[in-house]
Amino acid sequence: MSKIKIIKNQEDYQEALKMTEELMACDPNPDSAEGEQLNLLVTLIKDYEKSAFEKSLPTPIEAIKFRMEQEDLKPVDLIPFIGSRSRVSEILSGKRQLTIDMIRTLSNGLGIPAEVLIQKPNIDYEAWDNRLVLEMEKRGYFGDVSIKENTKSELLKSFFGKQSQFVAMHRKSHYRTSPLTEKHALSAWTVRVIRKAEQIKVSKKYKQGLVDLNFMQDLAKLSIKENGPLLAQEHLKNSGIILIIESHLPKTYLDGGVILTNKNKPIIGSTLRYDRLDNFWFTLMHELAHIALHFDQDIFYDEIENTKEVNIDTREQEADALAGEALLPSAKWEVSPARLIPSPMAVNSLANELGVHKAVIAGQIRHRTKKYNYLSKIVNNEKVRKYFLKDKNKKHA
Amino acid sequence: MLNSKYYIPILKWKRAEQNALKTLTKERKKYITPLIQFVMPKAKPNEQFEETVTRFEKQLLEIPNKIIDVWGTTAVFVDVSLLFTTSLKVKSLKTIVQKGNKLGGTFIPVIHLHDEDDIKEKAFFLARQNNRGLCIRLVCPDFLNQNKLNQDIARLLLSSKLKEKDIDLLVDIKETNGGKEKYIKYLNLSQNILNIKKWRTFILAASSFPEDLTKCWIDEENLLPRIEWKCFKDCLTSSNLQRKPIFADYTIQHPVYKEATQFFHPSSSIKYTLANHWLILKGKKQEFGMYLASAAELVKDKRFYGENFSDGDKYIVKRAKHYSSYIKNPEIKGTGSAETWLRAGINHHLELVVNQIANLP
Repeated sequence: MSKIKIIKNQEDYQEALKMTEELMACDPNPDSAEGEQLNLLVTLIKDYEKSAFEKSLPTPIEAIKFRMEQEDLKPVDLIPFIGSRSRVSEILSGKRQLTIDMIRTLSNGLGIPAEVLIQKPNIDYEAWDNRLVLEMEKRGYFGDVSIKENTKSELLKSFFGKQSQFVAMHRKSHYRTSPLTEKHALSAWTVRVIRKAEQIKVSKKYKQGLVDLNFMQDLAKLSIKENGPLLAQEHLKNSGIILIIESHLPKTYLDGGVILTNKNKPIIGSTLRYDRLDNFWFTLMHELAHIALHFDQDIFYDEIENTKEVNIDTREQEADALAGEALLPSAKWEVSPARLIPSPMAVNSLANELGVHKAVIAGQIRHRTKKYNYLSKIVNNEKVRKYFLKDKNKKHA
Repeated sequence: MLNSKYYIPILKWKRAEQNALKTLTKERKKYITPLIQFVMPKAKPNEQFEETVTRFEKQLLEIPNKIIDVWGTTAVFVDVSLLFTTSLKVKSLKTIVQKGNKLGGTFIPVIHLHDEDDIKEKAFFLARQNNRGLCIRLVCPDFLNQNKLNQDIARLLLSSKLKEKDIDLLVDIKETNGGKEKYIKYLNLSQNILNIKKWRTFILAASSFPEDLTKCWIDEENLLPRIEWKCFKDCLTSSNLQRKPIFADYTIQHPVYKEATQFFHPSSSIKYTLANHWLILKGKKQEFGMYLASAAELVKDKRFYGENFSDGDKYIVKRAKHYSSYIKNPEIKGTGSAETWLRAGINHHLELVVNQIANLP
């Protein structure tokens, strides 16, 4: 009889089955050496079958379509489980992933096993927009590898590696319904930020609770320094937080994001989409606010949208509020003459009192009064990209 | 009578201006001779022209008392050129100057070169009668032909039976039009006036204060240059002038008077005079809380002259202190009105200019 070994493939499996048959034919005593061999073989076969069975699970869409065929259901019949007609269409065409709510109702309502529905769909890199991939190549996302020598799928597969899922919260100037291109671009941008962060050595682990309002207010005071943004980057690094500057990809309208894949080393990505000091500081404070407020609440970006349990707007509002408080405390704002007159004099006066840059205050006044045409000279004159030109030039970081 | 250390502010006879003058310190008043321009009262809704004139005539007798109450008995120029109708101008000049002088004041009638004869004759008569002199106010068009100007002046001297030494010569450039050129041009032309050295005084008036604040912005620092002050300072160091002028301006107002319409609402802006500029803290129409917000910022600014500099500054500080209560409860009001803020602004300007002139080398 052959030696018992771990079943790695179909050949091993068939051999194990044969050995089992032979042993069972002998009907050995369970305590005998043959009996123990038989037990071992059965366990190995079960393990292999479990793994082989899982691999052959249908995709969530295949499972839904199969059940529709069985029950003679039309797409409109899925509305009670999925939502609107357009949402059903997006799900069935693979443009949108199932949410936790949908999985729950489909499982309960149509009897489709949750383990089938919860699977991550195979990533179809061929569906990626060519322009996006070209832009990624142009920016050095693929290193020295060219799209001329590799297929789109090969490039993307190599770029993403195992990093197809990540914990990230993105700050965008406005939220739109999520077209595929935007989601792809967001994923690519986030992984690019992670890759850049991996190149940076951080000697100190981030200690949960370090970032709070006081930390943020102290950090904001660096804004008055000539190279404040760089000092902030250094200060964050010394606190275990990496700040990466990476331009946004087309159609993402992204200002920044915080990535919490490694809780010991939170990563903040900032796009500097607007070359303005006020925007840099507000985005930075917003992302820090997420670290302060939502550190323990893992959120996958794809699941944030359209779920009732996790309301992205609420989180964004919470982060906006704390960021605003760090830059311009409401106690000061409530009694400031700037509330009535957003004049440069009011800006200077508040900036001096708070010890932060006047452009930061001007940006806050514009935001709070919703008068974005005011104080343009102050906010537009103070640029920020110049500080990070070195970062930008690191194409193959 | 007056030397170069004097200042001639040209002011309309309205409540804001009156109170701005009244609250000046005695020490400051000694160096100021205001030129008061009388204007018609604002017409009431559906009021006929004659009714407005009658209303003004009824107030006439009270004006001299009011001037003395506000200003005291030191010299004041009386200009009636902005009133309607020749007869009203003559009547006003006579009533105000005659009664004012009888009350112990020093009221000097002002005439323009091309005023109607009735007005000129009344002014000549009053000047001779009161022995307080006369002021001739020349404007830019008078200089189109220098020879004719000198002839007109000679004729006026002849018919008035007054000498140059009895007359203050005021050259009123009005708007500077944004540059020094106009000021310098008329300053130089003035030097060619016949016997320029002999006149009792030679006053040069101008203003670069804008007609309105449309070019000022809420969200920008609005610093408007005081061109006339710069030009005046420059001319004092010039060695080419036969006679150096006395400084005159229109304080914080545009030199060309425009009657406010019934529905005109000025913006809630503070006009604050600095050494070489006006700082305009622009507000919005009918949003009076902005006065307080601007005041609260102004008093913190290093350019603010301080509470004790003038009555106007004291008012600004008082309103600024009120801001914190107001912002919590706007119902308490106390924002001040267009009139009180104009008073504060003019008062500060008068104090500042006298101070500046006193400190000239």
